[in-house]
Amino acid sequence: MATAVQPEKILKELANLWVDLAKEDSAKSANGVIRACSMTLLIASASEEDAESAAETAAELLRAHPGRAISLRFQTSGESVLESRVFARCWMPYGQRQQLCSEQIEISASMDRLADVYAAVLGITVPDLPVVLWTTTPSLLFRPEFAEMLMLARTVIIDTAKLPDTCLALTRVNELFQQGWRMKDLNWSRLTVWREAIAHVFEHDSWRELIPLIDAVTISHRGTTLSTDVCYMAAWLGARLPAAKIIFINGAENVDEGVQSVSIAAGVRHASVSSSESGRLAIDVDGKQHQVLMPPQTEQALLHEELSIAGRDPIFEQALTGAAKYSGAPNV
Amino acid sequence: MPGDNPFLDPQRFERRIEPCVVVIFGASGDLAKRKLVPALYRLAYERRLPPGFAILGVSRTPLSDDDFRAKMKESVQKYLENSPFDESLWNEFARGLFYEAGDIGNTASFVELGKRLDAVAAERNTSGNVLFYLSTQPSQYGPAAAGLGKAGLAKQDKGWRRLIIEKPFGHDQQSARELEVSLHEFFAENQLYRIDHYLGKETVQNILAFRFGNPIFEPLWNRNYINHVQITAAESIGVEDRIQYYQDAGALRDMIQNHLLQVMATVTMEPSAVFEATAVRDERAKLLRSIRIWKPEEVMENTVAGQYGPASIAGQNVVGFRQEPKADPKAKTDTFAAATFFVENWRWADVPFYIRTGKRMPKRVTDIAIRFNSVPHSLFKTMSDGEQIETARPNVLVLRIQPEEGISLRFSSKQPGAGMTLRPVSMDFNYGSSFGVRTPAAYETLLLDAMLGDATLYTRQDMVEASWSVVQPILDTWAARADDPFPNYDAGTWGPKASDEMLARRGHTWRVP
Ligand SMILES: NC(=O)c1ccc[n+]([C@@H]2O[C@H](COP(=O)([O-])OP(=O)(O)OC[C@H]3O[C@@H](n4cnc5c(N)ncnc54)[C@H](OP(=O)(O)O)[C@@H]3O)[C@@H](O)[C@H]2O)c1
Repeated sequence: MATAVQPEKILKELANLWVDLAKEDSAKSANGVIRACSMTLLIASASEEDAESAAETAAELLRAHPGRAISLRFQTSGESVLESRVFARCWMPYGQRQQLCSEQIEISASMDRLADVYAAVLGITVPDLPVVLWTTTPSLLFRPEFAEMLMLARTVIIDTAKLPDTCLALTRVNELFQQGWRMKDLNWSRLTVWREAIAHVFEHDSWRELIPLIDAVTISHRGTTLSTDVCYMAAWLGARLPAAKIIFINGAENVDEGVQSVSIAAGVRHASVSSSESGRLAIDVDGKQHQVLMPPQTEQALLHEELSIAGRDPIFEQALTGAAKYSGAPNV
Repeated sequence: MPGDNPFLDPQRFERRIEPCVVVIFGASGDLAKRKLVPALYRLAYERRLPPGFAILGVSRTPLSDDDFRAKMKESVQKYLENSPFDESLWNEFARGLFYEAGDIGNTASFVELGKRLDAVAAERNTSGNVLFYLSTQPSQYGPAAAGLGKAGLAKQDKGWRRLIIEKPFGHDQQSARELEVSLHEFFAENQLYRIDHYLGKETVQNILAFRFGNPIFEPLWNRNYINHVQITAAESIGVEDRIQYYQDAGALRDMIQNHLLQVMATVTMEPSAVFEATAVRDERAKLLRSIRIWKPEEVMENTVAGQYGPASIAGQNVVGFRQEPKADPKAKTDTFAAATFFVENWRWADVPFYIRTGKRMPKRVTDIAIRFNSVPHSLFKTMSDGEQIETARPNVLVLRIQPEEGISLRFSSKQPGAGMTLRPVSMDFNYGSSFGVRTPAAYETLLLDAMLGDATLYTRQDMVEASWSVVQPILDTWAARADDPFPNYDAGTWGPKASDEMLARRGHTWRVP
């Protein structure tokens, strides 16, 4: 079993790969392969299952966000290993004549070899382009020895829905944010469609006039503790509705985790957004109802949304800082 | 008035379209079925249309709502580009499709249309917002605008009313002014959306991103570094079934007066302070007004009209324009037009802009080539036949609009091996395939913008007038020619010899795109 990973060797393998691809392709057509790159995406997983599904997601994702994907598979037990392989994923974009390829590098390592992985990755990230770290096994962020890996990236993507303890999760994400990382949480992206529906209610002048008078917001959710998306929603609403008391209630058990409905009330006026069966959101504004289709909330779609925001995301940052205080909030 | 909506998140939420009805005049026509309805369907597919959305088709042919739905379904299935067709989405979309038979020439039709609009608005909850799209012959623009106005349908008391018109905006300067007067009788300028589908193309918009988002090019973007610019818009096909229109219009009117002058303005305009409709259009208009207008005696030297004659292309016999079905055998139509333009401002003084467009050219291509100056002093020469040859070639930046949208830069590189001989190489960025995602069709972008009330990519009256001022003297001089020079190029070639001579006068040659 290989025990060393040399950046020069990996880069050489990559270069050869492109030469081979170009040859292969020119034999088939005169159009050539296109090499495109907008970032390095580091994918860190600590289980085979996470790594496999992340690799598939990344392959899809790279179509819209071309880049070099480096898949880091950490083995938390067993013998000491460090090995790598290089390959390309190619596809023919819809309606195009040219193949589009993205490079992928896979590094498998045991946790005792983290320092070596760090050194290797440092040598193979694409120069001058952003480095994004997606931790598909979020518990990695809590391991002290993983701290060095974080130094490789400016942006860190996590899905706090995968973490059992909301309070710990929000504390850690906030900590990293305070230390200067640009944090992105897929459990925040899940709220976009909800937030958009709520924003739409306030497109009406009469609802914007009500803002100072809105005294109650009720968030219904599943489970006995609040999940991170519920806390984010509370923080986001709380920051915009200064007079509102935020009340959490336990909703039905037989539905998905997280936010189930949001009701906003000011005297006799009332608006609510709730998830209904068959992937729709039901919106009720002063008794008038309509439904909107929920866009697919696959991991790939959520990541795509996050990667499409190139700079800072002040609205999320505000919700993130505000969310912590709700993580221990009582249910009614 | 309450303030802004604090719940918006522009980084994540799409701009919202208010509920509205799109009324398409000419709903049974070619443009509606090939472009407009497929583009609207695609917007529905992308979840960009609001729940209260409807299309009301109008033309003279009697059709029921269901007939219209069936016809449109067929066209969407046929003409939808790079996109799957979804049956259940179609059914939802089709519920918002309606049809009303009516004649633009008949005042009573507009009264009926008003009643039908009220009914559709009530059924679909669209609260009075209407976008009228005139997809009919240009001669009907004035009467349609007047008909709508007299029936009170241009009034914005119950919701916004906007009017989209397709090019051509007039046949000449005079008719453009007349059209303006009749449009403005009932519609204010900010209700008018003049479509130039070139401006809606993703890659034309990318020119602005390229210029104003990358400071390394801006210092070079002027007469000190740029030697000349060539804009080519070539089509390999002939006139096909557009002969009726094309025979009267010709290439100069059909392509240069609108699309290519707009493209030229995009390449040469000054940056606006903000990316907003008024600011961007002010800059575009200013540029168009800075183009030198040729005096009649200068026209022939700086422009070329061409018409294709019969030829054999790749073993296939192709007829000349005058032999096309339904063509006038003595037609004076220009199927090729080339012109040299100058922009009279500090940035561009004395830099020639060569524009050419034509039918039956060797291939379909639209691009803009920016040719930089040669090296000021040559180091890299090679001997050939007792002569010193400079091997460093000038840099050329090519902005490709279609078909392979992208940008390439030609620069010189050392030829591998002994000695110091340079050879040109090209660095290539392919827009569509680099991002591997579908780029929206121009009509999708433009329809969406009109529904959002964003006119940045639409042409304004002062731009139309400025372009006519440039083109009219050329048309007049061409029309006054006593001789009949046509046909003067073979189908399947890059145009008449005179076009090469026009560039040669300034020491330049056309590149082969
Ligand atoms: N086709 C294209 O790709 C294209 C590209 C760029 C610009 N354009 C411009 O778009 C416009 C439409 O072009 P097109 O190709 O769609 O033309 P078209 O196929 O000839 O369609 C004209 C439409 O107008 C209707 N119409 C004619 N007279 C009418 C009247 N008096 N009242 C009501 N409706 C009437 C016709 O239907 P009835 O006979 O049933 O009334 C038909 O639906 C033109 O201005 C053209 O220059 C077209």
